[in-house]
Amino acid sequence: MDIVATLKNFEEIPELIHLGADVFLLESETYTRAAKYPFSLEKIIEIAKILRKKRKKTYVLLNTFIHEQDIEGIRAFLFALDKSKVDAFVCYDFSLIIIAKALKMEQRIIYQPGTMNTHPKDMSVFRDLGIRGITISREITFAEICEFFQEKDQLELSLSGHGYQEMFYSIRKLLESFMISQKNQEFSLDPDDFYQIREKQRPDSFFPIVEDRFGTQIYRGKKLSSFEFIEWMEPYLKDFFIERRFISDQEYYASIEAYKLKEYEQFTNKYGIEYDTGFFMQKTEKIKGDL
Amino acid sequence: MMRPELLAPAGDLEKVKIALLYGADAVYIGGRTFSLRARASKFGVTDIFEAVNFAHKLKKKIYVTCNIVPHSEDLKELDDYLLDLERIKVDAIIVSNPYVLKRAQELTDLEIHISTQQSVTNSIECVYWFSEGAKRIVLARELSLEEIAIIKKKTHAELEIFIHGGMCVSYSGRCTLSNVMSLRDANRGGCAHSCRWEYDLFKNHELVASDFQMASRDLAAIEYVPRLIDIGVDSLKIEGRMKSIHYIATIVHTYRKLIDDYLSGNLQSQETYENEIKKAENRPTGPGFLNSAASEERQLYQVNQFPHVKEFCGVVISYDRLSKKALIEQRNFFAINDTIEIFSPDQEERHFKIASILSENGEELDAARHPLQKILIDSDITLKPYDLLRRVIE
Repeated sequence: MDIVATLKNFEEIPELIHLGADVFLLESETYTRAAKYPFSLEKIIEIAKILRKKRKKTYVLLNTFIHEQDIEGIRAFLFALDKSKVDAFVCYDFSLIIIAKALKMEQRIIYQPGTMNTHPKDMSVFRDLGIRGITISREITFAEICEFFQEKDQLELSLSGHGYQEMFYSIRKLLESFMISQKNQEFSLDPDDFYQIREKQRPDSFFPIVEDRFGTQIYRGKKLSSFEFIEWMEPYLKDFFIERRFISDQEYYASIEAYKLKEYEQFTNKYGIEYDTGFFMQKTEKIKGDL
Repeated sequence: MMRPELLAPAGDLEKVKIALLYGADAVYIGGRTFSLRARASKFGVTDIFEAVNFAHKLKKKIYVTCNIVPHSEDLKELDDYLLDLERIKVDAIIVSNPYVLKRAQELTDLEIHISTQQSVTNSIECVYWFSEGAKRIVLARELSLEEIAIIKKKTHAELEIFIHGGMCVSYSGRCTLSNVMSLRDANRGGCAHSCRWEYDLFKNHELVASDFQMASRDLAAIEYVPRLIDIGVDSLKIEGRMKSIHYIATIVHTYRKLIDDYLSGNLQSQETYENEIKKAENRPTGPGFLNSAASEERQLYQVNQFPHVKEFCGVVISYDRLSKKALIEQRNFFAINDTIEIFSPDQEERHFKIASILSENGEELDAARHPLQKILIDSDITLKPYDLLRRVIE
């Protein structure tokens, strides 16, 4: 199982290699929403080349929806990276599979829609599409995740298993719209500001909310930890994504090290109170009263 | 010019009948197992069969939503369900999951529509799903008129566009607020509508607002229907399987009139249609993403509903021409001397005053107070089953 870490900047490469990252996830200036550390196309090509020499892999996160006016741009973007050393594109929108297939690049697509990969029977469809792999949905239980493992030979499987998990994406600018409705003329979005929402019936739950030119994202209030489950999943997962949003460098490095060395106690002692196990052991109900 | 289909929602058999009688060309319904409105569904296979028969007698159509994002446990009943839907001759199924599509094709000849849960936002994906056997794509609600027009030119797939009703504030299928906050699975029919709650907003851990909201205004595309017809959109869709029969009748009837008026060259002022819509219980509406409205104009702040100007008070069950008495089922309070508007599928609205109210046993009443109570009222105007009665609010 490879550990996938988001790269902050060029200078950080030696540190992440030292900690044990196997794959470096790069955010794109043009096709990554909620990007904290975006890179230009040229920089992506350069970094991928360096990482290949160091026997490390490079993935690029493409998590926008592709509207009609984006098609030519994203096609050119992928084409420009075709001969690069980028190993895979982590894609949120199904149409990127089709665009990549037309460019004969489908074997470099990892389909990561966040919510839609909820059962293993879809895997034969994606295998027939020729893609490299899928990331299992964020909102299913550990038992449901294990069902995918019986089909692991069909495709590479990955999981976003640590850190803040996105739970909502809207094209709407919800913070800006609200501030305008409040006639708040001074409102401006500073990328360094940290916004949270709190539901009135859940006074201890703060959900991070991020807005950028692509819209608004909301995240779970607690960070996800897979420490209790990773031993069972490791033989079947090709990639394990560690999310970086809202996490300090120090804590991020500690999480990579913990998974790499399989030593979780020190991390848990220091940061554990802010983590839970998400939906691993928590079923959701289809109809009110099911549970 | 092509006449688009008017597609209406229905949460039970009565709503199916009302929607079709008031002008819908087709109705979409959800079963109890694979529908995103499973919570509200009253449709077992037998009920769907009855809906199909009713629709087909009118030469209209029934589509069945199978658009949950299924977990493994949901798929156990899939094959039998698909075979049942084919056997009872539903006109199409609406799916969002690739495996459900594949299985429907392997087992049946059902017509397949791709659900808006798939959030299809471009022509490339339309072309793909069409090549995979889907006849129609329900496009994402985040598209502008210009985008829809371009997509229409580039695909042979039929396109279905939402024109009225509630809107997810997120891209459909990509929201798990409800899962996290209520443990109710938004993509399997359990959505708790967490996006419509009120929140505190914090900036750098300091409270900056205690009334943060993110709910969307409902969609109302009255102004844009002529343009959608010009573009060649195949189906114009109304949202609201959980809405009342009065809402469905009012909205369907208004859009039916709007479409027919435009195609016959008799389009009336936008206000005419808007005034009709206001008779139903609507939240504040807007054009969604069809135009380039400012972002905040799509949102809903501090208001829940428009006051509607007419109140739905009963459904006609039967009418006796000799005694001039109508048997009606009460839905909201009304009293003697109230002015009542008769809302009928195929006639202009007419008015009369309530002169007397009798219980089914002949007991005189001063008002109709009990929902679903069967009562008799006098009416010199001939009424028909499924005519709806609205109390005019003075």
